[in-house]
Amino acid sequence: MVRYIGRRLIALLPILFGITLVVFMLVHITPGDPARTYLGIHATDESLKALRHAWGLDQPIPLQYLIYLSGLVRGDLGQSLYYGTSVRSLIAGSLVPTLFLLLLSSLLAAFVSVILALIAATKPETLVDHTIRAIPTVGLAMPTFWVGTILILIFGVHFGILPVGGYGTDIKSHLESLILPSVAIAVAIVPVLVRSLRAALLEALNMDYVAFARAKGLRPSSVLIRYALRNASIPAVNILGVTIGFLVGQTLVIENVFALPGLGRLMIQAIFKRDFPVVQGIALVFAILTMIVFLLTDVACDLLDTRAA
Amino acid sequence: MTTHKAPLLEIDALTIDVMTAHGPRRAVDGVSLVLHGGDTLGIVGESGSGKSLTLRAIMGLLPKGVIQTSGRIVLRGVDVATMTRRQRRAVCGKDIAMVFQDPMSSLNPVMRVGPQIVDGLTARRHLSYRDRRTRAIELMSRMGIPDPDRRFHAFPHQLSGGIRQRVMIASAMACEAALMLCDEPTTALDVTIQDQILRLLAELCEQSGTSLLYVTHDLAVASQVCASINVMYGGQLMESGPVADVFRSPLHPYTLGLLGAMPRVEHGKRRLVPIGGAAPALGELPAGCPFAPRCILAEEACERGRIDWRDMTDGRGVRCVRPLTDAIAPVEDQR
Repeated sequence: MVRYIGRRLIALLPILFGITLVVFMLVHITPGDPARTYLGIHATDESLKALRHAWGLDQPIPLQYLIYLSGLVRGDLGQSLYYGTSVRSLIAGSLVPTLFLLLLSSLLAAFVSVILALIAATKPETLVDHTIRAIPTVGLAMPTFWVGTILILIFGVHFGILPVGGYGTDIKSHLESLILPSVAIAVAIVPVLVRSLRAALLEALNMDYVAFARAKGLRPSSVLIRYALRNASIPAVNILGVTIGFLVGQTLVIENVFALPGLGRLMIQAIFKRDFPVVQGIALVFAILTMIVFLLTDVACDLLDTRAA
Repeated sequence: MTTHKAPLLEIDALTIDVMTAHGPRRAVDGVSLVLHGGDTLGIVGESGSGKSLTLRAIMGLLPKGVIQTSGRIVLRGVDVATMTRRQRRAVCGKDIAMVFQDPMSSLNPVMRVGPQIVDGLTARRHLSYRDRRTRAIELMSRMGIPDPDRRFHAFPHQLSGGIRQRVMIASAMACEAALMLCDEPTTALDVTIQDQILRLLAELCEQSGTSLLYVTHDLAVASQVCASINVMYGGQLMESGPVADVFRSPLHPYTLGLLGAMPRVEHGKRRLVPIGGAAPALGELPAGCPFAPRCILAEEACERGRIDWRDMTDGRGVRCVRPLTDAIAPVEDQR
């Protein structure tokens, strides 16, 4: 298993290289001039030129890319054009809220999905089942930023029980401010998870080993969880993995709606300011996060499905 | 000594319907049988004859869309219809155990076999891990599984078909049930392994006095483990009686046909005689005897209506208008 993980991590390197190339190109194709953004519309041509030179933006693009890469190899993500600090310290400062949000929302989504899927699968083709399958689909149809706004209106503004945004200063207020964003994200991914998990559960419940477990006189809950759920969770964990990968992108939107000082928010700001090194750095971090999630998914599936190991 | 007590299992006019797109179709039609403690009873029939559904009905494990429409299943004098679901579950696994047909698909693929063997036991009383382990290893070695210490931790896919079937029997035996239902437990195995498993079952029943209700399509297998057999066709019992008697002088033409189609060493070189035609599909059963369309001795009376069960001497019985008496039994040898 350790060797397998090692192999997978090594396989990450070429992918990361490709990502740096693509992101670098995209950032430099994007119209807009960081110097102009920084100095404002009244800046003189000379000062713009001087700033571009200072940032190294007057070099040919391939050369800029090579300089960027050589810094990357040494672990240097460059300097933020706007803040003047290193990109690494900017990312380090915003990473925790994002990771926390990802963790909380995927746990919430997984928990809710398992409960709903278990209820639906024990009463297939009943009103309960149809309701469980229909209502989350509504959630799927609502854009996350809109759900976020509605949640803020209801729980933040109307009832005033949860913060409308921000991240707070201590663990308790961190958690409080992450509840609504996590729910907003969960609303988007629960429908997908519930459907796949329910289908997998129904399939597992029809297997001979479930009938055999029943014939042994096991409690229905025990049959459901130890026999059906464990087998059904294998395909569902795969889907959860892909969904969390997609979540990494969702944080961009949701962190802005809730003014969470995470990577997604930092990225949006950096894009507006044409802060190239920050955009590139965060894109790289997102790519690494996504691939770590995929790796963890595969490891989890191997652990669940003993035949694959 | 147990004969004056209520029988272990009594099935009375069991009828099971399968719901299809074209409405209900009769799969089991008025099956009755009685099983006393220590009995070994076989149910022999072709696929689709309703034998497996009968077993599943006893366990309360009929698949979705399959419904018991009438008849009674009585366990130790208690009608299962009067039991609560909890009571029924308490009986399953403890008083009656069931061994399934396919050892490849009947064990949980993601669970180690040791815990699977004893989980019927742990569902009933609390056992420490050590006790569970000891009990599972004990059961495995009793089933003749080599190296049970190591196999305790194995996953089903790491074991051969024969060992898996032994594991399944071990988990069925874990609670020392008084009655074991076997649904063709050797069909998925090759012949030498089949023979080992059958010997094991016969031995276990003899040692612990477990009763056996053994469903198979193979007359030879039934004769190896069962003292008496029931022959089923088209959802109905055709004939029942002690194995030796039924083999020596079958009363029903269908049984005779089955015997004729069975290879036997003692007959030397002999052409096997197949039964003409094919088993009726679900819902295509004739009004009269279900076997009549394929029966060489069929007459008009066979097709007129339902044939009544006739009890014969020596604990035998048959559902036939004109049971084969000893006078015509030698027909088989003339072939």
